Amino acid sequence: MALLKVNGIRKSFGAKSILEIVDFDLKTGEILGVFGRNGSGKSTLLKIIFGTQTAEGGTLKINESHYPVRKKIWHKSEIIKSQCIGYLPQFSFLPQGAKVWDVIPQYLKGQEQDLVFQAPRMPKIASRKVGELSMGERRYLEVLLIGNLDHPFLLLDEPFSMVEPLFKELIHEFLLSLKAKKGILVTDHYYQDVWQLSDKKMVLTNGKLSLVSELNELIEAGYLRSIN
Amino acid sequence: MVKFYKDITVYALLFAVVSIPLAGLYGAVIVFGIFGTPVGLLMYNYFHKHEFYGYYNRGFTRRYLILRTCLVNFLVSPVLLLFAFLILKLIGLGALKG
Repeated sequence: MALLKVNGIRKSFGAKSILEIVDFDLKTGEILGVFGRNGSGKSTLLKIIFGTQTAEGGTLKINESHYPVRKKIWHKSEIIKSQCIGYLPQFSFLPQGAKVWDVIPQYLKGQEQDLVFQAPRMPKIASRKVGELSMGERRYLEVLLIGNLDHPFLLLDEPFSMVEPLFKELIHEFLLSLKAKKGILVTDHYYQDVWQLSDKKMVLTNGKLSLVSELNELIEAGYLRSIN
Repeated sequence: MVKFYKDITVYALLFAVVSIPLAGLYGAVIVFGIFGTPVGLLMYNYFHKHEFYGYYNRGFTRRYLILRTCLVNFLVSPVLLLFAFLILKLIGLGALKG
């Protein structure tokens, strides 16, 4: 079992403090859902953990290894080099002009490619260009590619946004199948999907990350007005 | 990694070709070797910035990608210079005419 420990992450943009008290643990076999309003710092937090954004303070530990999150340029990419964390950004990162069957071998080698090629719905889209895929198809492909890499932890920023129900269901199933070997942090405004998927839920308000166990607490935290 | 190199080098070559009328064939090769990669990186950063995340997920840092590309293009430049020399020599001998 691998353990990701995040402690005391702090980040501000100018005078505006975005993250003040951010502590959590994530272990393999667990899905952590993070909720928060736009601009609350969810994506910033994920980028800090992935190492593409710096923080003003805090610690990041995976098992016994420490990874710096402080603002030093030579520290920035150590987490990327370690390949302990996979990250799905909220925007598409695949080359739009490339065909799906050319993209897959760039991420996975040998028989591992079949995990994507043979995944439900994939044979139908493999010959198309990434830029021609629907939002749902593209997001599903991105989740499959990142999810099948060998990282023990996975950070997913809005995997369900603008995705049609059919692909949402496939993403759900895939993430649940990954749970046995990975620790997954997922954040999305499609809160019902995240709520349903996660074992542990946290809400980010005013820079503080706190545990929630009932949907009502999301109302109290100012994230929801009512529960549908 | 190979795709990153190709993406950058296409822009670098285009920049070098555009510079031929001003710098000549030898000058264009030097432009490719010295300025081509930085120009390619600027263009990549403008048009394909999000694609960096695909490389990050595979363990390639931005610094690694940039240094490798600079190194390869720096090594390729003398070969291109040799080609430019041969082309100009052949033109001089009239071998490429009619």
